[in-house]
Amino acid sequence: MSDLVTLRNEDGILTLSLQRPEARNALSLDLIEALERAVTAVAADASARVLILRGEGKAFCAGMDLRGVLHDATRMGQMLHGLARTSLAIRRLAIPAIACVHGAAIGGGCGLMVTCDLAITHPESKCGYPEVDLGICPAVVAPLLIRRIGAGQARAMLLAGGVVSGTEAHRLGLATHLASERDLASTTMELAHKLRSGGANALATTKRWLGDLEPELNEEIMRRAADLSARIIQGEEAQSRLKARFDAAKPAH
Amino acid sequence: MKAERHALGPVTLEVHDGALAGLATITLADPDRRNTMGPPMFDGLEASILHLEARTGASRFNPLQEAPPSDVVRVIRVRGLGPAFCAGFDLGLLADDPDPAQPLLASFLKRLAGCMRRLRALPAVSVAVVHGPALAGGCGLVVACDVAIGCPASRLGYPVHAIGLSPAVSGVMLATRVGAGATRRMFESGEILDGETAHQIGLLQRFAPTADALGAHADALVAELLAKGPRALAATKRWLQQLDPSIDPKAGADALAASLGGVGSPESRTMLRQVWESRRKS
Repeated sequence: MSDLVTLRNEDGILTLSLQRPEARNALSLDLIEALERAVTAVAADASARVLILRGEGKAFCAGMDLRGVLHDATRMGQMLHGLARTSLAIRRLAIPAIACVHGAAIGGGCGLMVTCDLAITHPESKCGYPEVDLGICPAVVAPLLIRRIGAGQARAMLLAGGVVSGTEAHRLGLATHLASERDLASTTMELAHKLRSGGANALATTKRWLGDLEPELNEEIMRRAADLSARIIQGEEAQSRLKARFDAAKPAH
Repeated sequence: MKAERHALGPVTLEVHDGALAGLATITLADPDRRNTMGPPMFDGLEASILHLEARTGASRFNPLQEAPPSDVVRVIRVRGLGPAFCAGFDLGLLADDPDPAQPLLASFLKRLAGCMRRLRALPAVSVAVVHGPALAGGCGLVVACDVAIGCPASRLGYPVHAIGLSPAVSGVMLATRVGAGATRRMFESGEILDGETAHQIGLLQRFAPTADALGAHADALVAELLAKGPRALAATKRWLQQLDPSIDPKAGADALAASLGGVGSPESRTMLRQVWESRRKS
């Protein structure tokens, strides 16, 4: 396991932590690759009963880390395809996955949030999809979000979206559970224990069945999504909006 | 972009310029009849959509290749003038149709289904501004839009079993908005939801705290949408269109067929006439 993620197993409850707190766990290529390897390890762990996905530091995940890769189409494509594959791998785990979302889940981070079977957050967190403001097409998130909140609701969220509070994210269905910030970790653990107490075979059967109900969520659609997103990011609109955003965020000298 | 204004019978279509360049507004403007849908309203809606199909430019640019040209309509606002957004079909016309096969009702259902499908498929982002009642076919227009904004005075629902009609024609799009469970509730109970409840279940996605504030909230939403990356917005809408099961022509045709199934039945004819007579008296 690389330093970018950690995976802990406590009696079958696996906690996968994103470990890039200095960047609010923004998804760099290295982090995405580490996450993909960790999810593969979870899938292969016969003792695993529940997965908790969380982020170290102040935020669950601030989204894709596009700094430094704006002009590198190859790297950008690898990031988007990696995230698409990882999302599908989380979706297809035989065990339930819980996203424990504190602080913020933005863009690709909010994609991971709705990929997990369950997501718990606190009222003050920030969740959502500001992609189109930056000229980005949130294509990879779309197939997953549609299955969480419906295609009609996903239109409003992705087209007119932006970032909402944890309370609103819960009302909209991005989060399935809400707890106070102080109780977030303990409530997540309670939920995990409750899930672990269910029959492992019954849970695996149910997950497989739910997967069978979404046959359209497959490698091909996720590949097309990653290609589309990569293509739009390479365009002038996204490049100039992202550059302006990065420049504005730079400290003045 | 030059401002345009088209008077299309009871519908006004405006293409805006200046700070609002990229915006078009469809206004249902038959306030005395609560914007009910009869042949002139359908004519106006269809003409507006036809015009917008050319102005939103599916044929003029491909977001995969390029950004939209500057004169393309990117955002469409749909609103109603007067006390109602749209009170559904014109029951007076339907009750007075002497033909027992009810061809007028059949044509209304087909035209409604066509307007909903074409509105939803436009490459621009559509926003319904629901200031009052949006009932039956009116609620259908709301769920066909990408986003709906309302206020406490909004009223949404399908009270159509009472007149012997099935609201199935709206069902596929409604279900993608509120889920299958809430769709059953709305369809079977026929209840008219107030604005807060409609917002709570996701039928309205944005909500102004008072009716007076709705216009300003809707303007702010439109401004937000106009400020977004035009190419990213068009590409995202196109992708969602490809992923959306309610766009499937077969699902749409099945839903329409379910509503058409009751057309011309004794139940439909009798109930329509009774309801209309009792309204005329009161």
